[in-house]
Amino acid sequence: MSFQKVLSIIVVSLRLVTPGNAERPLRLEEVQEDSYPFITEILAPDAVEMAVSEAARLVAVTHKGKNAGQISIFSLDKTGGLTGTEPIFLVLPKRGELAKHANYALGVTFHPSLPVLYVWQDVTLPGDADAGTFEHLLIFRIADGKAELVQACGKGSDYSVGHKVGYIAVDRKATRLFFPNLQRKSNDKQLNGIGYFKLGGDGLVLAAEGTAADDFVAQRETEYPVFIAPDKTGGFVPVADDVIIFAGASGPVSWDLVEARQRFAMYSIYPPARKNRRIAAHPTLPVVYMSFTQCEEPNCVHPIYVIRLKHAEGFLTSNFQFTSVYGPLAPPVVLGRRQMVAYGGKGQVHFISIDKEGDFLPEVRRAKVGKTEITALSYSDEFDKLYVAVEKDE
Amino acid sequence: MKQHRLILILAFTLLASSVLSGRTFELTDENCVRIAVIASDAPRLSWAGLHGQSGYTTNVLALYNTDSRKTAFLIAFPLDHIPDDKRITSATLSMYCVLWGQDKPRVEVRRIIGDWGDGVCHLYRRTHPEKVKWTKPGATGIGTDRARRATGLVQLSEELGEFSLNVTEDVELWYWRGVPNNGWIVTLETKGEARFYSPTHEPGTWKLDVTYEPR
Repeated sequence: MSFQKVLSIIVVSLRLVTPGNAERPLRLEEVQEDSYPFITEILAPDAVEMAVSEAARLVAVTHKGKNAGQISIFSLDKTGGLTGTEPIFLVLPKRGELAKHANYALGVTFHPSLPVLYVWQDVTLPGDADAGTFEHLLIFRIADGKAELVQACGKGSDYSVGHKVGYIAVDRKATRLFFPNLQRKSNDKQLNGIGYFKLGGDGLVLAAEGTAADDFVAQRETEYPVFIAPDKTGGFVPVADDVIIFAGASGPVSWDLVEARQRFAMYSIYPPARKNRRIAAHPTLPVVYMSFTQCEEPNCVHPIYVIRLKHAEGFLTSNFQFTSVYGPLAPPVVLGRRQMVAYGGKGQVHFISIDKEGDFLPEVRRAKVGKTEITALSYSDEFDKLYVAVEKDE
Repeated sequence: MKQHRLILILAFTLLASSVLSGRTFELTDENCVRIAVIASDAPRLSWAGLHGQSGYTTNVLALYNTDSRKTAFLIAFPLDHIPDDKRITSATLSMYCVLWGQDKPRVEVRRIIGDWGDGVCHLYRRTHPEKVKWTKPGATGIGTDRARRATGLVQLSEELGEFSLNVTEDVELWYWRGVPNNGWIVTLETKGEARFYSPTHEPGTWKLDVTYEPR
């Protein structure tokens, strides 16, 4: 036996008798997989974000660039496959005094049980323009291959404009729609805010008696915590009836909508704050996943730090787990039935395995999908399909 | 060739000594799953670290003992690193203090008696998968939630930095006598405020060093 061999055996033996620390970040080992039959590619150029509705069997995709003012809506069959019919190309209406300015979609989500699509839009305005009349929330009813605008609201001086990020989410009971990008001056300091609209049984924002029909201020609640940096709120996960978790400045933040003494609690994590943050919840377990990156533009090579945190009725609890992958700025997507968390990459999707408790396992699979940056992807637990927007037939 | 032989002898000696004569190892908060900061003024939070302008953050671990706020830090180090049939010769708990209020408070460490876990907070010792209350809110039940006798006290001194406490008896109790290891509750015994590095923001700063040898 060579000297090197003997020495390496000794080193390994020493390592085995040494009770080392748990590894941080968790190192992921590559696992080869021949095929990923649960991936459904959707042709959608310049895709940014995606939402899927199992109830209405629809997939909605937002775009950037020249198609930023449009949403593509695809129909699914009863197994979740694409029907192959022509998608609905929904052009965001230009309304009111600001109709001549370019509006674009930021956030998109569906009502959990109705064919109702919520769109959070923004507008590019010259510096001196008054944005007070711009309606940020558009609500569409989808039927017979058409999208009909049924409500528009969310306007006023508190709604800031010109953002790059703006996620929205509907809670599980469909009683609240959470929205981002509020701003208010307080003692000469600018505070960033978030809020929610109360929804009625028809999925529309409730208009309070005695208020102007297009205002809805009485059915809106907002908060302005210091945990929100401008333009960086990376999503909401309404994990419990009265507590939601959102992606805050340095980590996930729980927002207790009822108990004022513990209204906000931020889990500030190491590695410390990154500029961009995204968040997702496990569909059945009390677990959230959050990603942090310095990346703002496509093609950057910074790692995405990914953490796993437990919550109990919405309150963040116990210690966190973290690992990293490389990729663009995309939210984590939890594949509950497949026990994986997916992240878009350049021409690929990373799948980090999780166990039955939602903890990361030290293995990653990578599926080749298209050739460009993957940012728009969404999973249906019911159909067991991961929908991924790709540029063209690649 | 002579040099190779010397290296091999040295390596074998190290291996043999680590196996036969026991050793010292260090665990940090990064090894812990069960870890929390509970506070009387945030009855459902597991992480009521520092109260600020908008709410609580965990970028600092702040302990309070005031009329309006009482907080406690809970931590349970896993001891399954220790091989069977050893004798614990010493165990030291260390923490890093970064600030205290006007009165230099005394930090008290006690064993936690009740099993605790996900969702632990001022009111409950766990809320998942089902809610189980402390016998007294804040794990203040002496002899039921926390041990009758304090493991020890740490008097914070002029110099900020790392403070240590001998916890050998507790670790021996958990390891050898089969008493369930539910970790420690760290509070301020005297009125005041003290701030420590937070395990979520400055991981690795709460440490447990354990030395053992063959029995």
